[in-house]
Order: sequence, then C-alpha cells, then structure tokens
Amino acid sequence: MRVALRSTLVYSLFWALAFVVLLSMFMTSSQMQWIDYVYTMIFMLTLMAAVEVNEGYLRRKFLKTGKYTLWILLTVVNINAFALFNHILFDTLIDYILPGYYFISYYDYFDLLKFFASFVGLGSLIGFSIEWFDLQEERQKIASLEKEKVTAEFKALVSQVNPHFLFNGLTVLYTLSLKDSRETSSAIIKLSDILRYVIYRSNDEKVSLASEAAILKDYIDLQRYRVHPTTQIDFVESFLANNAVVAPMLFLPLVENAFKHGVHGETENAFVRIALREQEGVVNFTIANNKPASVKTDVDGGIGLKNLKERLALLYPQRHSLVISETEKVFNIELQITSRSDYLDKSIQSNAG
Amino acid sequence: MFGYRQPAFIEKISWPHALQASFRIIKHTNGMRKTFVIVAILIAMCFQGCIVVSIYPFYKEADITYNKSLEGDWVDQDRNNWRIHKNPLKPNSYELHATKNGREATLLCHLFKLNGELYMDMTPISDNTEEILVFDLHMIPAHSIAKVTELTDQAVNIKWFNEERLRTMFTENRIKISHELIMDQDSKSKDDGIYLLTASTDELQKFVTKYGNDESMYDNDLKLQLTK
Repeated sequence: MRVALRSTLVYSLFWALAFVVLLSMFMTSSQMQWIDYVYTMIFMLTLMAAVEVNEGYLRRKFLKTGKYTLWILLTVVNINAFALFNHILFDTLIDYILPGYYFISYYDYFDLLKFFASFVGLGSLIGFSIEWFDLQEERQKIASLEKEKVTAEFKALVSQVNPHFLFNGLTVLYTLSLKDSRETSSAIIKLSDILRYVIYRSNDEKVSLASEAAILKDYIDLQRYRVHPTTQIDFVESFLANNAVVAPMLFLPLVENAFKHGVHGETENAFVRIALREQEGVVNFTIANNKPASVKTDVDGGIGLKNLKERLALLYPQRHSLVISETEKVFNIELQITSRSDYLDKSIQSNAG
Repeated sequence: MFGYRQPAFIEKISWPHALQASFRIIKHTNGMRKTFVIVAILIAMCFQGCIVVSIYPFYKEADITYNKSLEGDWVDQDRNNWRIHKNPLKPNSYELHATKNGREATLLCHLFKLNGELYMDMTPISDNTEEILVFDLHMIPAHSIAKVTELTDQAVNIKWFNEERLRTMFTENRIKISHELIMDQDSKSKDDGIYLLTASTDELQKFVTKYGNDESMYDNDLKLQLTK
C-alpha cells in the first residue's frame, strides 16, 4: 500500500472514531441533537488543525532533522496556541461565524489543554506507527533486493564453476584418449554423471551432503584415470545426520585443485587425503595433497579457490572458516561450515541422488 | 434549570389540583425528575408566564452579595403583597413570601453579581414540613434566575429570562446547553414538554455572562415591580 494512501486511511479512521467519542462526550441531553453534531465538528476541526500542524510541519521540519528540543518546545506552543484558539473561538468568534447560535466555551483552558495534548500525542503515536511500518516495508524491500543481488552473484559464480569443471574433465578424457585406453568410455559416463549433477543441482540452494560426497567420489574415480598408479588417494566420509544439507559445489573446486596442482599425473608417491565429516550441523572438510617443488600451488589465486572464497562469503557469512596451510611437502586445506539453521532438511532426501 | 409553562393564574389552581397534576406527571417520570416537577409547579404558582429553572444554582458562594434595601414589605404591580427578610439559617440570603388571594409561596433568594450585573437566584422552600413530611422529603430545590435592574429602598425591578425564547432555541437546535426535555405521557409534541437545564453552575454562569445583556433573552411579560 502506498505510504500516502495508508496515512490518509489511518488518519481518516482515527478522526471518524474521534468524532464518535467526542460526540458522545459533548451530548447536551439524553438524546443526540443536531447542535451536538455542529459543536463536535467545529471542536474537532480545531483539534485536527493542531494535529496537522504537529504532524505535517513540526515533526517533519524539526523531529526528522534531529532538532528534538525545538520540536518538543514548538509542540508545547502548538498545543497551547490551539487550546487558546478553541477557547476564544467558542467564547467570541463563534457568534460571528454562526450568528443566531448560542455557544460558550464549555471547557476551561486547562481542560482544553488536556484535550489538545491528548490528541496531538495520539496523532504523534499514529505518525510514528505509520513511519515504523513504512520503515519495515523499506527494510523488507532492501533485504529482498540484497537477496536478489546475492542470488545473482551466486549464479554468476556457479556459472563460472561449470565451464571450469568441464575443462578439467575434458583434460582427463583427452589424457585417456591419448593412451587409447579402454576405460575412456567408462570415464565419459563418470564425467556425464558429474556434469548432470553440476548442471541440474548446482543452482539448487541446498543439496544433501551425501550427494556432494557422491559427486566427489565420481570425480576422484575420474581422476584416477589420469594419475600415476602409485598415487595414494583416500576419501573418508562420516555423517551423523543422513539428511544434512549444504550449498552445492563447495568441495569439488578444492579436490580439483589438489589433483591439478598436487598429484599432477606424472608425480610419483603423490597422495590426496580427503575427509568429509558432519556432526551436529558442523561440516568439516579437509584435504591434503603432496606439493611438488616444481609446481606453484594455487594458494591465493586461480579461478577455483577464488570462486570458492566468494561463494563462502555469500552463503555462510560469519559461519565458515577456510584455512589454507602448507609445509615444504604438503599442501593442506581445512574448511569448516556451521549451518545449524538449515543443515537438516527432509525434503532434500527426495531430491538427492 | 427547568422551564415550566404555567397552566393558569394562581387563583385558578387549588393546592389539591396542583398536587394532582404533579403526581400525574410524576407517575411517568423517574425519581429525580419528580421533585423538579413539583418544584416547578410551586414556582409557577408564584409568577405569571414561563420561567427558566435549573437543577444547579446560578450562583457560587463567591458571587453572593447582600443588600439590606431588599428587605421589607413590598407591593407588586398587581397589588399582591411581598414580604422579604433575611433568612436566619443561611447567611447572605433572603426569604421571600409572596401572598396572593390569601395563599402564600415561600422562596429562598440570593443576590449575586456576574460581570458587574446583579442577578437573583430563587428556589422554593416549603413551610409545610409538619403536615406533609413525605412530600418534602422528595423536594430538591430547582433554581430560577432573574436580572435585578433596579434595587433601592423604595423600588425593586426584576425581570426573568424568556423561557419561550429558550424553548424556541432548543427546538431549532440553536443553543447548546445541557438539559433534559421532560415529556408527560399524554404530551403530543415537544411544546408540551418541560425543559430542565442540567448544566453545571460554571456552564450556567458562562451563558449568563455572555448573553445576560441581550435584551431579547428576557420576557417583557415576566417582570416584577415592587414598591413600598
């Protein structure tokens, strides 16, 4: 609802209610008389003027600009001025405005002050309430825009993962085809499975941890075709919750990185040790690989790691840690994600696999 | 305040007849109103025309003034006798005895000033306490107001507010003052009803102060001219 329309509706309702209440207060006999309506309407007009001056001018001019003392002072002046005006209106001016009618100022000045202070106070409360709702609406809009922005950024990053992964996969197939290996067809199937997962699941908000583990195993199997037979590859998985979920494609870039820069096909005694564990909403992923002296590792740069860092910042702000360490011979990455709010999702079971 | 259209001249109303009329009205009104009806009849018996009466007095203690010139035996323009003396029980008040054709009505009067003008508040008191105790227990004094235009040792001139004018203003919805319209069951229109002002003394005084000098507010037929 538009702000102006909502404000008009709320104030209309308020004044309609005020009219009914005032009319019942101003009744001069047990039966409602036309003169009571006339008096109530005129009396209420002075109240409306005081509230309008306060809400339409003083609050916007002084309160919103942070001049609180001046606003309070002028509000008090406003209340006094209109109480006095009301008194003079019914004491004198009314005889000129409505000749032939007999009115007096039925309330003394202090009673009128109470009336005007109450209505100006109520008007302010309504004004504050409307502003609060507007602010909440504005915040929701901003939050929605932020979410849209994050989603757009996330999709942009994921779209970078796909071609990156495809490139690596094709490299494997290329290697196998050069060797004219009989395992090429099996590798193509593996790559196809991985691509299917990447294409259809990577845009999901969450995927099961089990399906992420499965895709890692497929990828490792694919990589086995290109690494040296002596390369030691370990993958350990341990989940306490079968329906634990996590954002898709978080671990694959790290595994890719380990194989690309660590194992590197020709290296003997190479190793990759991977562990994916989950306990009470905390997911721990560790990967360690040998570090060939001749190859520069991708510690800070490279599309894969850079992409992962940005995605983690967007998806798990303040809820993840990515520690990259290395010794002379070992390159180690430890990723911990805390996703207590969403790590259990029964619906993901039906989507997994 | 309470307006009552006098049904007839005082000589045409016998006490039993007046009480009978009042009881007929009382039958159809609630407890508090009964007393005002009776009081209105008593006051109406004293004056020709219509008077304006109120539940609350028109004066406050601070407004009361006392003028010894008002005391004494007076004769009005219709040769009726009026005896006014200091009330022994209430300070700064008068007891007014009006005698007409051998019958007497007693009123408690207060002179008071508003905005420099002198007014008189009158309310009936009964001296029949021994005879009709139950009747008196139901009495709550209603007040009427009159403007004192002259007060000397030799002459007193008083004029009452115009009840007919007030009735018209109520009917035409041109005056806002707390009131009740008391209708008898047999009444066919508002003209037969009795306007009883229920406004506070503050409110009454504001009206008197504001419109007290408006000559159209007074009834030219409802004047009391007393001489010695």
